[in-house]
Amino acid sequence: MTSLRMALRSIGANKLRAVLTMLGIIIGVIALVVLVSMVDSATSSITAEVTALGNSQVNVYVFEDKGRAVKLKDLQKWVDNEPCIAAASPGVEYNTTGKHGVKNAPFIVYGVTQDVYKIQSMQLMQGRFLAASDLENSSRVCVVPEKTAKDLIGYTDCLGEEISLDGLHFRIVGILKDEQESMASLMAGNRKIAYIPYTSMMRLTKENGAGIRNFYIGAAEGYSLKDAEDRMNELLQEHFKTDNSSYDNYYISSENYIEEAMGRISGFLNILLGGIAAISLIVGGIGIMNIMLVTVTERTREIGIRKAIGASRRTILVQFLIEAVVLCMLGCALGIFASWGLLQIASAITASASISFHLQGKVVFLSVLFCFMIGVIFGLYPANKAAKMKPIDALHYGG
Amino acid sequence: MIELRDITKIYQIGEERVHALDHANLHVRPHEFVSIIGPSGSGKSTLMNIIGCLDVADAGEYLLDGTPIEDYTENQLAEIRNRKIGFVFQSFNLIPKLTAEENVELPLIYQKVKKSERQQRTAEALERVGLSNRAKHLPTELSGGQQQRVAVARALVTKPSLILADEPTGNLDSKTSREILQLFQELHAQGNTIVLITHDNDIARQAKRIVHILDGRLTELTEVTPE
Repeated sequence: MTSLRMALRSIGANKLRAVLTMLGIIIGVIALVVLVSMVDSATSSITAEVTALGNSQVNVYVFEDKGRAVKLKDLQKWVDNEPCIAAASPGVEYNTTGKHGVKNAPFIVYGVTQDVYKIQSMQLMQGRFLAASDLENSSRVCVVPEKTAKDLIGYTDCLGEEISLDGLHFRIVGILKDEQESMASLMAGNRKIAYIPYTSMMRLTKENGAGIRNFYIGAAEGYSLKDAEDRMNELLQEHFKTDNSSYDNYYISSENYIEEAMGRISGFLNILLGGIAAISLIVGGIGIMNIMLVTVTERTREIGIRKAIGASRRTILVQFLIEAVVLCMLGCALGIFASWGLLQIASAITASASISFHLQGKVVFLSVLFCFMIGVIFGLYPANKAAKMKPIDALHYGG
Repeated sequence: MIELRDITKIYQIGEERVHALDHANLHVRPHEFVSIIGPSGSGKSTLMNIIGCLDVADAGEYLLDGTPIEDYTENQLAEIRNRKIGFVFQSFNLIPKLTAEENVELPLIYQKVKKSERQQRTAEALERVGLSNRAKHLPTELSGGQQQRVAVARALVTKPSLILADEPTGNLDSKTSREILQLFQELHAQGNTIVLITHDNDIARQAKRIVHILDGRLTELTEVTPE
């Protein structure tokens, strides 16, 4: 305590110099805290908006049904009974050629239920999506994205037109907005996309009565995708009468492409910005070392006096080390305070864009830790120089 | 108390080897007041550094309170200085940004004395030199004589075996000098061992025993009261 007070007093003895010295650390801390907090806040704001749109689903692939095929009614039962599962839909894919008039194109056809609309957060442009009655009746209807309609039919306003898939005619009942199915279109590549009732798909592919090999589920509001995935896993184990050790007849995974991508981008940005900030903190540390060396030289006589009256090397070393660390930590505190102010201002400016910037606890902790380390590392050399002075030389320094 | 046997200290100045101390012998008994007198360049600063454990001799033996000190490490020497020796310097050597009180307290902090005891002993030492009312002042706010009294209080506060004064009146006017020397007399009367180093005969005569130093050699001048 006493040494801390002494350090504060030594620093206070030359306030202007102390502030100028701390400036390097202050700027470094601001760079670290503000930039990383901004990236984090912006990322989480954007991610929150994106996930609000959905596009996150749990995928299940059944390789081997062990005689207990998953049927539509199983999916319905799970949706009805499990609070964390909001929706479920088969996701059977079938590659074929689609024709309209004289034009044809490769198609990827998805056999789904009306629930997929919710799970994949689709948005309709015209018409309607598949309905429960379409599934019951195995209706030959389909819903296509805008791009498919444009490319194959030639215009988007094409409700009622028919697409021929494997010789069967499917009437277009709805057109989807393009941007909302970007993930599916990414997977489709050049192929056109059509969504048809799962039951119709079974007839098309002549697999009536077979189990569902691939289905999607969506988490209910208030539950994470992980919750839904974990519960689904339990349900499947129950269904197949397996336990965790035999995990080989199905595969379950949650997809949250956007969150993952955002996470990767912000992680990369954080490392980049953190690196820049670290460099400026190191520059600040060199400033501290420089001024501590000056201080040690200026106070050679004081060191001599202290040694004459019995200060050991260690005592002197600790004294100057504490001074360097205190200088760094003061700079750090000022920097964090300034960062907080800047983030408040930034939040006020961007309030209309509904992005708010918060001081990130982990960055604050990180910068405190980093400043402490810099204080120790860059304080050690000057402190050691002070500690190694011979008492007689130091006493007679400068008369 | 102090036993110097054939202490030799050689400085290399350029090509030349200078014997700052040449087989110096000195014996100081407890409660003695000894003056060491010599002109500048006679080796008295070197002697003071060695007696004060600020430096070690090249050859010879130095016993302080019966313990030979030449083999000690720097940290052990620091502890000896802290516990056994109280320094009073010509230029006071107070730490400018600490108050009188804090300057006196410092050696006790290095001894890791408890705070309550530190405060009590600091107050006693300042009382002893008659500066209780100046405890909260910085050295720059004190006169030369007062600063030197603070330095004496700092030397006293650890109850050292030896008070080592190096030209303690060198920077003071004659009136203040007399006051400081009077203080040394009182301290001696109370049983402190004092070694006073000076170039001034009048000041040296304050002590009962005067040792002369010239070219690194010591000679007894007077022994007024053999003990």
